[in-house]
Amino acid sequence: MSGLAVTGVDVRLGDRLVLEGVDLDVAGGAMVALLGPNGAGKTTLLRAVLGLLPIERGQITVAGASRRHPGAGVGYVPQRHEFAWDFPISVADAALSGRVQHIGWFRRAKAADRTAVDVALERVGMADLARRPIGELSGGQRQRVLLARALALDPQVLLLDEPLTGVDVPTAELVTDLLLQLRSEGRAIVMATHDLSAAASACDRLVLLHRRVVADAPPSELRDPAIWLEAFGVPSSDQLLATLGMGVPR
Amino acid sequence: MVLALLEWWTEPWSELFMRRAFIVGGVAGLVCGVVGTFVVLRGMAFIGDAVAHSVFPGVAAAYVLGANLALGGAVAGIATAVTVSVMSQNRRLKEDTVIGVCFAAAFAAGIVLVSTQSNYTGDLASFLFGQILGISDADVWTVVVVGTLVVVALLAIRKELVAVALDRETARAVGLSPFRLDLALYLLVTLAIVISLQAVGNILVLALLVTPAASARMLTDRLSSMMVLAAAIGAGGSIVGLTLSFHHDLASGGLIVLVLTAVFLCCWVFGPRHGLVGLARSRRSTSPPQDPPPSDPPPSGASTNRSATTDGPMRGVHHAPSPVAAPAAD
Repeated sequence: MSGLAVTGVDVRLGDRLVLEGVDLDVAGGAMVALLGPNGAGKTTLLRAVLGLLPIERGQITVAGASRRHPGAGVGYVPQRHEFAWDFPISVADAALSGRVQHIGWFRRAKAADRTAVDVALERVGMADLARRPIGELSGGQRQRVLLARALALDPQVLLLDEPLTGVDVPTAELVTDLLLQLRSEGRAIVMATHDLSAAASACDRLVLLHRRVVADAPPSELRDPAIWLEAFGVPSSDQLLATLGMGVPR
Repeated sequence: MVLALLEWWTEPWSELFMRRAFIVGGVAGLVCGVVGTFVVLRGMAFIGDAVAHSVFPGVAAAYVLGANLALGGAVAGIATAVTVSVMSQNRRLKEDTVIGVCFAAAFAAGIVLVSTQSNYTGDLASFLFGQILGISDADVWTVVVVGTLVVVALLAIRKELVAVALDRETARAVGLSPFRLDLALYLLVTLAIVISLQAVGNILVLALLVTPAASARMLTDRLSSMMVLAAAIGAGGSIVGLTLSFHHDLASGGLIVLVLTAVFLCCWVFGPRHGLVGLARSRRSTSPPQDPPPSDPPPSGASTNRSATTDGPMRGVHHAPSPVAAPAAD
């Protein structure tokens, strides 16, 4: 089993049970969108998978191994504002920082590390800008640097937190196409997003999260307005279903 | 003229106490420049100030007990650094709040300790404002050895410090401990401050830590260059300040800081790309047509990537406005 398996996971932040009995299976070669309103627990679920938050109950396995310590096998693309873009460092060195633990304490990056970064930058279309200071990049280019940093570790499971928020259309298409390629290479991909139409067009399944998993199904099967009402607190409208390309018979 | 200038430079070096001062001031400036690079980039100037002030009760205690002043300062500074990093793990309080509480408390303890003594003003003043013209060979060796260790340690964990500075969460996700790395950085900052106390004193040491690194930031977009430049500016500023102090018989710590500040102002105005002049020039050269919005050059290979999926089933609606996104985004 090469993908990600989340089974019956509870996560508590302070007094609040933020995730309750969450199940999520993402096999290698599958791409899943995590949808839900702000505060529904999308980022919390990603952070739990990364091992950044203790889970109160349940189990998380990556590539069949229980997540005792964070790190191996999972690539993470955080929201863009989580990164210090004013740091004086080049695009290539920023991407290399993803491999810091792989390189090891008191060691310098080896040729293999540089090659991994070159390959990752090539994939995200940033090879030409490898030496540019990160402070001079546009929003879309920044998103691609974060993707390259995650890919530099060649992860089997890739988690992305709102990679399509606030980027222009060419970047959104580039990112989506790259994710589809990565999926076809057998990686498991989980993307938290507010971009419903992109999620519906690119992902195999939509997972509606609102503290618990409200629905987990291919886009075409999520026609029941009650599901959307439960997840988002708003009724599914004709317009919403039209966005999903489903057209409601009147 | 040239000869006079040369003599102006070399004359102080003939005095033993000045040679010691140059070594201590130069090493302190160099070490603070390197460590200060991270202080500036992490926005930790306030922590530097806090550590500098919290060194004070340690020195006061050592003074009262008749122990080694520098050692007492190091212990107190490290204790404060550890307390701050432990307490700021509780995210309810922001780090600067915790620092405000801790360093005021430490300074207050120092004042109370000092007030138990009747005849302290002389030593206290030399501690607060520096005493670089009256240092021993042992002091010189301490500064050189500790300074070397600090720089070597910082360079040894540089890539880990960079990863944490860039993005704490992801650094944790790949298995680093931002807490321990913060602690290590605070300890290095404390040691850099302690070895600089004799050069500029407790109150002005913050300038040695922040000003050279801030100057260097105006000059470069590369971390390595920034560390080298900050070290050079710190060491050079110390030596120029001491030379001025020697010739004009003015306070050495104050002159060092004023020289560094002059360097900073020059960098701020004349910095090649980010200085006032550089910014004005780049604005003039880009403004004639109009400011184009930052645009992504089409990435190489993007077209081949795209062709693989353009015939996806729902491609047409991919970027249609999403009615769900609006309410969901609050």
